[in-house]
Amino acid sequence: MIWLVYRFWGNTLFSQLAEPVLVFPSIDNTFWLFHVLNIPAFISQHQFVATIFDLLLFFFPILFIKTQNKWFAVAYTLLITTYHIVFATYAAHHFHSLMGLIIISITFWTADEARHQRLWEAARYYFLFVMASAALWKLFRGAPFQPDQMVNILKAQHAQYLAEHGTIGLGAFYHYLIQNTAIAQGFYWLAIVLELAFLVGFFTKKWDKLLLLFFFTFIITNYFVMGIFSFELSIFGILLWL
Amino acid sequence: MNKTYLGKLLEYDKPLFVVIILFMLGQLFFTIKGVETFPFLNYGMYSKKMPACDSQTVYQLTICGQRVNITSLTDCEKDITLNSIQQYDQVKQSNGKEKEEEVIDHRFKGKVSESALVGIKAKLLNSPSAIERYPKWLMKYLADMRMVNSSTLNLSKSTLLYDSKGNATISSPVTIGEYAEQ
Repeated sequence: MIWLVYRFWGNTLFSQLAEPVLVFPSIDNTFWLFHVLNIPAFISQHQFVATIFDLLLFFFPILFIKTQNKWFAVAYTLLITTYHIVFATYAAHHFHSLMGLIIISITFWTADEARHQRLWEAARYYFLFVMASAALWKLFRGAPFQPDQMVNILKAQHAQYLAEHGTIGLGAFYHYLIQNTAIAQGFYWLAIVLELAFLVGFFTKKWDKLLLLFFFTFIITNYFVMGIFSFELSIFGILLWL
Repeated sequence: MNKTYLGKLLEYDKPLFVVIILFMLGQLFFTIKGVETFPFLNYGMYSKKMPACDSQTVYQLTICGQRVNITSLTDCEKDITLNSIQQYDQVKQSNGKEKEEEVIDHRFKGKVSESALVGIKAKLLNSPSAIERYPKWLMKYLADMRMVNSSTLNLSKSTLLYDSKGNATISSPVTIGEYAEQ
C-alpha cells in the first residue's frame, strides 16, 4: 500500500504514464515476450485499462488479506511483475527495485502454512543472494582495485545534479567526494563489506538483526552518496526481521 | 537427516524442491551468460570498471519558458524523465539505429520468417514516428503533473566537463527536441 502511494506520488502508476512512445525492452527475453504479445502497449495506450490495472494493484492485496485466498496473491504477483516490466520499458532502464515485492508476494501463493514458511525461507535466501552477489560481482570484476572507480562513478552519477544545483547542499557533498578519491573509494569498499556480510546469512540466522542493520546502513549511505532512494527494496528487510 | 534447507525440502516438499533447484539452475545459467532474463537478474550494478568520466552529457528541460530541474522531480519521475531523454538523444544521434537490433537478428534471423522478424522488430524497436513524437509525450507527461494548459517544451543538452580538481564547467546548450502545442 505504501508502495502504491509512493508510485502515485511519483506519477508512475500505469494510468499516469501518459501513453509513452519510446520503448526500451533491452535484451531481456521475458520483456521481449511481453512486447511481442503487445502487453505493455495495450495497457499504457488505453487509459481505461491502465486505470483498472491501477485499481487492481490496490485491491488485490486487500482482497488477499480479507479472504486469504491464494489466487489473489498469485494475481498480485503477476500484476506487479507486469508493472515492473511496463515501468522499466518506458523508464528506459532495467530496475531491480520491485523484486522485493515480487519475491515476497510469491510466498503467499500457498494456503499450506508449512509451505509458506519454506517459501519465506527461500525468499530470505534470495535476498541474501541479492546482496552477496552484488559484492561478488564487484570483487570478481576487479572494480574496487581501480583507485578512481568510485570517483568515476560519482562523476557520471551526479553530473546532471551538479549541472542543475551546483555545489550547494548535497551537491557540496558530491563535489567533496569527487575531489577526495580515497574517501569516495572508502564508500565503495564500505558497500562491498556491507554486502559481503550477507554471506553469513547462508549459514546461520543468528546474525539476521545485524544484517538488517547493515541493510539499512547500506540504503541510507546509498541515498546520501549515490542519490539512490532504495525505499522499495527495503521491503526485503522484513525477511530478516520476522 | 540432512538439516540444510534443500535437504529439508527434499524430505518434506519435493515439488518445491524441484522448483527451487530449477530456479537456481536458471539463475546460474543467466549469471554465467551475463545477461538478464526476468526473473533471473544479475545484481552487478556499478561492478564494471568505470573509465574516466570527465566529460558528461547533461540535459536542460524548459517548459513554457520555465526551467525544470530534472533532479528535483520525485525519484520515479526523475527515472522516467531523465532515462527516456537519454534514450531519445541516443536514438536520434544514431539515426534511429538501436544496438538491440543486432541481438534481435542474432536470436531470430534464420529461425523465423522474414515477415515475422520484421514484426518482432516493430514491437521491440522504436519507429521514426515514435522518436518524433517523444517531445510531445514528454510535454504531456510533465504537463499532466503540473496542470499546465498551453505548452511549449524545449529540450537541450550540454557537455559537463570536470577539471583535474573535480570542478565542473558546462558548455552552451544545443537544442535536441522541441514541442509547441498548435
